[in-house]
Amino acid sequence: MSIPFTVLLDIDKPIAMWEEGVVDLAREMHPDVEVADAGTREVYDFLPVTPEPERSSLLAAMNAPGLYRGFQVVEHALETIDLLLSDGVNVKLCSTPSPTNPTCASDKYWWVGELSRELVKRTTLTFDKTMCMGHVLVDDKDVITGDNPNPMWERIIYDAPYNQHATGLRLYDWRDLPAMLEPIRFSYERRAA
Amino acid sequence: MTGPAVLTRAASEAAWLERMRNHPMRGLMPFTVLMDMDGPTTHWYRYIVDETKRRNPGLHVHEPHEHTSWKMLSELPADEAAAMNEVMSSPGLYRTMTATPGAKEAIAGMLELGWLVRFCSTASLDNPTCASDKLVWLEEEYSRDLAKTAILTGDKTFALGHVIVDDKDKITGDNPNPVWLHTVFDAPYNQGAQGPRIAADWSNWYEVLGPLAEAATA
Repeated sequence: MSIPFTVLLDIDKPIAMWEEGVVDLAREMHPDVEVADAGTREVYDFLPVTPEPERSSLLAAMNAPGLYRGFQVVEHALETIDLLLSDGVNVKLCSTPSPTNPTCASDKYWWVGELSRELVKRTTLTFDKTMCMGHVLVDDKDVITGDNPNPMWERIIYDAPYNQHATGLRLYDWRDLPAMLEPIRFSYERRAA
Repeated sequence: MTGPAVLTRAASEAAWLERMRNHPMRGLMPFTVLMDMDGPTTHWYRYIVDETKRRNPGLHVHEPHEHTSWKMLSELPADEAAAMNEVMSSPGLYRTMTATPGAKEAIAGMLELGWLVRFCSTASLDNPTCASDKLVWLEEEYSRDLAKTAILTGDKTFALGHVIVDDKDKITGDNPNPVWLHTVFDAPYNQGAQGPRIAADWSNWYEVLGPLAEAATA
């Protein structure tokens, strides 16, 4: 028996509107601080290049208990996930918890559970995605490294201003994902047969 | 009867070593141990039973060794099951767990040998703070660096590693062919489980895992 065709989906950015949530909370916590809009940051790890006091304001928001319960859902993400599941794709959510936000890990499970009880059972929280098996990983991070130098998955970059230099398949709109996966799935299932 | 049983055991051991020699991560990574938390790392059963007794002084609560099935709540009287269930879903519970005797020393020994130890645990979805509390516990008991190796998942069959040390009798998931070898952490409820077996006090960890590590990396 072979592994079912498995797609790992990152949560923050591809599914949850993380940056928008952080910016909104930073502005709410520090109304006097000017915080740039979501979508304007051109570096994945933006804090070191953000001037004060904006940096401290964003950091406080990122570490605020409850932050990860309040995100909006990215347009067309859920309907596409439902479509993939109904098409027999083994969808798994694969996300890294913040090591400094004290309620992040539990809040992520809570947030996914509010979206779908089915999806919460499919959720893995890990600091090292190279240690997770799957045929495809959809993720916005520019470079994904870990202990395993030869991850099993093929990478699809979820388009963002800070990952423009990353090379490979690129997803701009959730509705394009099923067609993008088709040849990968076909090739895998033919090899596995 | 003794002859065939011994032969079967020897055949099993040879098959385990062969799996390590043919492991897909061979040559790519150091020997990697996926370490279940509840049971092997935290003294979960003992802690839940003690906490249930503490909160319910008049209630008869079975001792951990009296449970011979993984699904413990289903075999308990209703009042005892309800009391244990309440303890298990208490916010903060997983932050205050006690460590399994011998675990810390065994894990330190593995790290000293250059093995990778990756905590691999399922967060209880009925306990609202379980996932975060497990990470806090690891950080306080070990270090932030080691806490940052944790994999919290409802499906361990998709995690990569050479072995998984787990007290569950049978680890199932969507992947019918996990790459790891299930190394059973001894408990009354997993006596029927197949695989190398690590004693509940961790005393034989090197005897069991050492040859597997050697086969995986030689």
